[in-house]
Amino acid sequence: MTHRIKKEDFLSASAIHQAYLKRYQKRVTKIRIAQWIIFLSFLILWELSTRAGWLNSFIFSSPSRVVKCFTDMAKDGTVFYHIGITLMETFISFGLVIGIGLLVAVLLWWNESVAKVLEPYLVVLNSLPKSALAPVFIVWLGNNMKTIIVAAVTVAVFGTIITLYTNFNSTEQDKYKLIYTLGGTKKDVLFKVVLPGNLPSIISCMKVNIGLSLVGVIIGEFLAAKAGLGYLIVYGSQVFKLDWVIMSIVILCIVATALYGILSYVERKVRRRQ
Amino acid sequence: MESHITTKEFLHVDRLSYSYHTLAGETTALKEVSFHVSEGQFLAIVGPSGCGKSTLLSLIAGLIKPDTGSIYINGKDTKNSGLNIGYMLQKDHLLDWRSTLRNVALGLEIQHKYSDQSMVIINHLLETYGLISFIDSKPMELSGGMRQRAALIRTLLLQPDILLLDEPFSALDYQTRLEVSDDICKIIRKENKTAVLITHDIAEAISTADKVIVLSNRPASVKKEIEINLTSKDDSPLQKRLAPEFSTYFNLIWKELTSV
Repeated sequence: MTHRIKKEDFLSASAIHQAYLKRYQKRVTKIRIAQWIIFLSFLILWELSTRAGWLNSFIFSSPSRVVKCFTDMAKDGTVFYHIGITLMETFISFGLVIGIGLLVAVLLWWNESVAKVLEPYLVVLNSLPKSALAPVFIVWLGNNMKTIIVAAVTVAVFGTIITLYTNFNSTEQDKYKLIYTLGGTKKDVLFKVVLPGNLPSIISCMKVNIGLSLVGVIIGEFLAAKAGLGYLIVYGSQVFKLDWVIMSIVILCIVATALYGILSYVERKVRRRQ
Repeated sequence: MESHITTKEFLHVDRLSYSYHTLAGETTALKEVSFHVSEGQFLAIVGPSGCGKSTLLSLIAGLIKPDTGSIYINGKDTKNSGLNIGYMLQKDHLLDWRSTLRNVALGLEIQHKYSDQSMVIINHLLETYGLISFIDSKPMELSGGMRQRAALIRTLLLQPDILLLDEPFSALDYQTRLEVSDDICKIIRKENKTAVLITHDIAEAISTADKVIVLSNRPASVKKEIEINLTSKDDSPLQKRLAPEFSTYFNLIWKELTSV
């Protein structure tokens, strides 16, 4: 929907095609305007209703209070400290999920017997609500970052293994035959066909996982943290600092969108190279 | 025509048998299949669908092991000496993410035989077979015929003793199929390779091969061997389809295939 029309393309087009492009451009603009209207009216309504006293700003906060809270915390740097902690935990978890996921998926692909043996365990672990495990990790690993990262990894890793393994296995059998008839071994099948052929699915898996890692980190921070956005949300709600809570949620929205954006950008780069 | 047929026995398949095993039971695919191919000869194998043609090719290629029987190349048992085969599959299976150059070099890369010398040979082959201007193109940009030629070059670069063709044209539409089979057969003749083609297309078999073997229903055994001698002005498959004896061979093979 947001495809941009290049100026030189527009100028070189025929009159009828120009009219078509104009119609398209108009539609895109209308959609953008509608999106902004929803966003702004939400903010205005929120601000007005707290000012008029329809909503209690102590409980519901308000856009102006959130902004003030952010600028105050930005001055002494605490907000960036919390964002930094959450981001670091997310990146570590994400790296671990991708690393472990790829490694195990390759292992399962390599040895079908191992895959058959592990299948029921993976299915159970994947469908288990991972937040149920978090209290156990606190007991085992302590009230620290280790717990948060392990919690985040468990949220995403089993699904990743299953998805990647399924994708690896759906490689055409004739491609295996091709490699074998060219004198190759199973290692060649892996490195020449399975891995490069699955690059798009690996990247789309990463796109899902960056979000899941963030979810896992926030769950972990709810339970075992002394810093981070998840900590701010839980602590803020406990001491009735709703400004902190709302601000953290807004920041999370922005962080999640940005992380997804980065991976979409990487995906487009890789697509183009391929 | 005669120039392709030498008396020297190159590939000898001796009483080959093979069975598939599934939980439902045992299926005998091949039963005592024997034949031989001379050096530089082009053999076509036809048979009813599902008779075990592809199994036979996989056996010759060494991808699976026979239950009984042996395969000899130049009189040597391939169990001991191994066999340098070139295999062409039904589809070209060029890898989408590789350029033409890197696709044709795949076999060399796998066998760690890629050298400076290879680049010269690759360039020469791409030049000869009209792909040089597509050397950096991805497979998606090539036509069906160009893709099959690239696949053949990928195979030829490994300098195989023998080429095995497993219905390599069956995935193409009819017109492309005629052109590509003409193309590929000319290349194989030019490079003077011994070849075994599997097909269910009788006309394709007659127009490409020096000898046609008809297999029976499953379990497959050799039903008939037919030497093909056509009077045509050259040995391109398209020309050979115009030969006066073409329909006689066609009827002969058709009768063999349909008789129980």
